[in-house]
Amino acid sequence: MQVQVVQNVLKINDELAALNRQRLRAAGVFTVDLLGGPGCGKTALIEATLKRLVPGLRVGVIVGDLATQRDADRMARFTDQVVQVNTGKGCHLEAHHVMQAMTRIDIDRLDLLFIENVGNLICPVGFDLGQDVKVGMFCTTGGDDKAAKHPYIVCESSLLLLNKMDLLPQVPFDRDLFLSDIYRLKPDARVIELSAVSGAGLDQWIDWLGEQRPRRASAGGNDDATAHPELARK
Amino acid sequence: MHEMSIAQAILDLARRHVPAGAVLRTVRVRVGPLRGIDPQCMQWAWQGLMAEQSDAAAPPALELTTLPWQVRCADCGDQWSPQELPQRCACGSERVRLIGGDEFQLVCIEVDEQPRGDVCKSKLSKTC
Repeated sequence: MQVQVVQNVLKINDELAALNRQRLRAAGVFTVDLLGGPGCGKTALIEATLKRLVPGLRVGVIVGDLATQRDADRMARFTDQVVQVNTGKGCHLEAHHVMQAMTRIDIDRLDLLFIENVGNLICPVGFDLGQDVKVGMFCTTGGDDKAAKHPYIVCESSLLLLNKMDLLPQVPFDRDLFLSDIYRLKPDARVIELSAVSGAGLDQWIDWLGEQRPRRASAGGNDDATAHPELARK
Repeated sequence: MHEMSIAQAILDLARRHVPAGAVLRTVRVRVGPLRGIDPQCMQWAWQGLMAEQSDAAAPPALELTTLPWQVRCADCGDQWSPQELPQRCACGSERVRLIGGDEFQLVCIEVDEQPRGDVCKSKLSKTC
């Protein structure tokens, strides 16, 4: 006997993600799922962002890695609302990881939550975690072909970051090719070029967060984004 | 390897739809190319999962259909379904836009309504 289903394969994950989203929005937390390959600078960018926004804004971080507490230790210098998730063999975070991690931080006292996904340009893209936005990160040292080779992250991300711009003169990276690949896949893509280490482009990134946050929060959250000078600069 | 967790997701969702007393035989899934699913890896992951979670003599099979890309030329309006993502349209335009490819659906399942003795111990049956 055949039973018709026609449902998203990741439906069960999506149901948990919807609960996460409901909880986070009710608490007025704007949530960013940061995706990118290993070593592209996700942790460095979150560190640089925390330096800018804390303590004016209450920021939490859930960070996923196969092993070690090292990223959480780095973030903990800036905020005590940090949870390290070790996935063991898992190459991405799923909604249930985030749901468990959310019980270990004070969601009701956060304005902004970063979820740093496991370093991977492929697997994390399809898994909804309950975030408001997915941000995809590439880097100049990773090669100019990475956007073309990973169309899903390009198509699904609300924002694309090109990190390590300070190293551009040192590496064979065709910036025009990289950008044209992105716009071919997603003509309306938003791209910010930055360097988490030198700080170049960080203003644009902070501004983008500030633009997004009230937009999402106005759907039902208690929006106080403009109360923070960094996020209210515009 | 995301195929392993996706295999688990497929199985969990499929089990929701197995009628009481029936045994899961086949799971049919279709996936678009954007999802980055390798069919061979997916089958290995499925078999690994079955070895781990099913003691049935004949565990359920996964039938995976990989869909083609869906693209549209922004200049001439032509739409087609290539196997590889094209750089340009036959009209010469490079403005080839993706209009599909992220599909990932459990389409249907096949079940045996009367479980046989050899599968009765299967954890995949809701009655056992």
